[in-house]
Amino acid sequence: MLRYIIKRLAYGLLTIWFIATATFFAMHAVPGDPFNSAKAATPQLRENLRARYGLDKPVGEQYLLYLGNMLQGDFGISFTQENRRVNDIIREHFPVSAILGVVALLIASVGGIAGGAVAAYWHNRLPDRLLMMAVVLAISIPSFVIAALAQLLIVQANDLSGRSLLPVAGWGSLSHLWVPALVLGLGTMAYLARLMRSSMLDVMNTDYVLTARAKGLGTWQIFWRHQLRNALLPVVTELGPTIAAITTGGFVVELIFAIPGLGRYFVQAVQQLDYTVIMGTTVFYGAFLVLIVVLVDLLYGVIDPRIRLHGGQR
Amino acid sequence: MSLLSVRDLHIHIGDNHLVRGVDLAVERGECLALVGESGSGKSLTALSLMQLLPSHARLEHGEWLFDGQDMRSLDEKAWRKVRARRIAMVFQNPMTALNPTMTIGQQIAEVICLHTSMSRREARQRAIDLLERLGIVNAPRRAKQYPFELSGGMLQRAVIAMAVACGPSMLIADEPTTALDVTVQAEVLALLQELCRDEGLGLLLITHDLGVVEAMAKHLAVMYAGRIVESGECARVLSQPAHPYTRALQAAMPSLGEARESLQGIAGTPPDLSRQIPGCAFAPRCPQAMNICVRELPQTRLIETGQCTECWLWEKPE
Repeated sequence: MLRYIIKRLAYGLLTIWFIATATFFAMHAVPGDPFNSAKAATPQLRENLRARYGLDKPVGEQYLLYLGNMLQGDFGISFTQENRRVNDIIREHFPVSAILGVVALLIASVGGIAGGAVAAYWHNRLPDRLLMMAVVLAISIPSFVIAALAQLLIVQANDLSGRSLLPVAGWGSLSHLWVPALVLGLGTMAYLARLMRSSMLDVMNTDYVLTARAKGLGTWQIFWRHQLRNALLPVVTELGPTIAAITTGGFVVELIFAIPGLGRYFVQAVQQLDYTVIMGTTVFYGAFLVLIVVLVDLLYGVIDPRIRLHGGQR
Repeated sequence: MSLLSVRDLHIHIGDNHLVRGVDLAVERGECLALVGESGSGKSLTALSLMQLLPSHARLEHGEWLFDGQDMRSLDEKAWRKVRARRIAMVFQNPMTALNPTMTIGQQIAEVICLHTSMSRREARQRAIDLLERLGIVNAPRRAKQYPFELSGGMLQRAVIAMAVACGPSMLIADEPTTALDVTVQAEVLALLQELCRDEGLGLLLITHDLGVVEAMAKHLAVMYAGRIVESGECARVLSQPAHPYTRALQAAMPSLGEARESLQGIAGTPPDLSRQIPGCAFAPRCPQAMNICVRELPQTRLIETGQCTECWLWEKPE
């Protein structure tokens, strides 16, 4: 088991290196550099800036230099925000994104699994039809549209009640969290609900569920002890990509709800070609996702004994 | 009085009238075999006896007594106390009848905990004892294993252990050996027979294997298209089958020693049960069919002590 984890993590490092390299060269292939005409008024000033940040060196040397620093955990200094270290940007703003992401993921998984189970129990009847209609809507409408609609709804509700029920945007309290997290998790929730519904339908028709009924167990007991775990297997497989979807989807939602998360910096950095911030955030997100996927794989083993034991015997 | 007695059982699913008036009686300590081809309604009948049919199935009974109690009036809550505690079931395929994510021991202990006041630990111990009694070597270790780690024969023993764990007075076994190797089949059948004898269990054995019937059952009921066409004492029915369908079924059995070019089937196909069948359902395939067979259903007639059939050939001409 330990060997398996180490192997997975080693592959993960390779993936991160690949991400870093690809991002580095793709970024340098974009025409222009961080020092636009507004910042560097004269050619001399521009040359000085380039020299200070090491952009006058050949790209290959820059790459090696960057990798060396990265290995020591140093992502460098931002090009556009004076004297701000990328490490600090990540340290300050990632927790905000993480809280939003975790709450969104919780809402999405609990809602998705519950919704899928409900739809399966009432297969082809009204609750199922309504839920599946909502699922199609939630999957097909992009999150920025839903975000804007949600803001509109909040404004209307605040107007009607005559006081501020929920803030429209911003960050700082629990009430700021729910709506963006729901918007962020909605697409994923819908996707998980559909997945859960079909796997639940499969499980409901298995022989062991009939056995469970023949034992005299009630509907809830059968659900908790026999159906849920087995129905979750395919859903858990999808959790890795799902977390990726939620973290990357976070960029847009953070921007619309004016949440000071890392996503906003990422988008800004790409617009301004802030090399170090692009690299830092990309590599950081990459590492984060690789870790999540490994964790999900391990979780899969916890849920399914067949995988756990086969892995252990190897 | 019989342990279980069912009269005039009908099962409808959608437009299909799948079981069309079945009478059954199972005695304590005896085995009744229900035979017939696939789709004849055997399994539906079995499931209905534990009220395990899907909710869209409609049931009608003339009479349904189990241990002297009228079972028609039971609601779902009461049924949950009957299942496994008074009537238990052994399913066809032990590989799929057990939950793949729970250990064997957990699954047996679950049913014990549900129906007795035993603690979890006592139930675990009882599960191990049961496995041991049903001939599983190294039971404590096996109880901690998952279904995919055990062979089919061992799994079927575990399923049987689960079925008898709460001391039911009747066992329904739906083709309990069909999914097993031939060598294991004999062991599992012997086990069922032993339980039947030692605990006085009434056994309803569903099968399409007449060889199994001969070895196991005291009584036999032959089912075709949702009706019992012939029933009676096993030895008698098998030696002198009265209904043409029973004869055809027997002829279709491949036997050892007889060099046959090919397996002999029964010509034709079973009837469409979404339509009303006024006469005998077997008439279109019956080599001895007469005009009346298609028009009218014959009475169930007692031919000889311990043998009944439903066929116009046995009606005395008036």
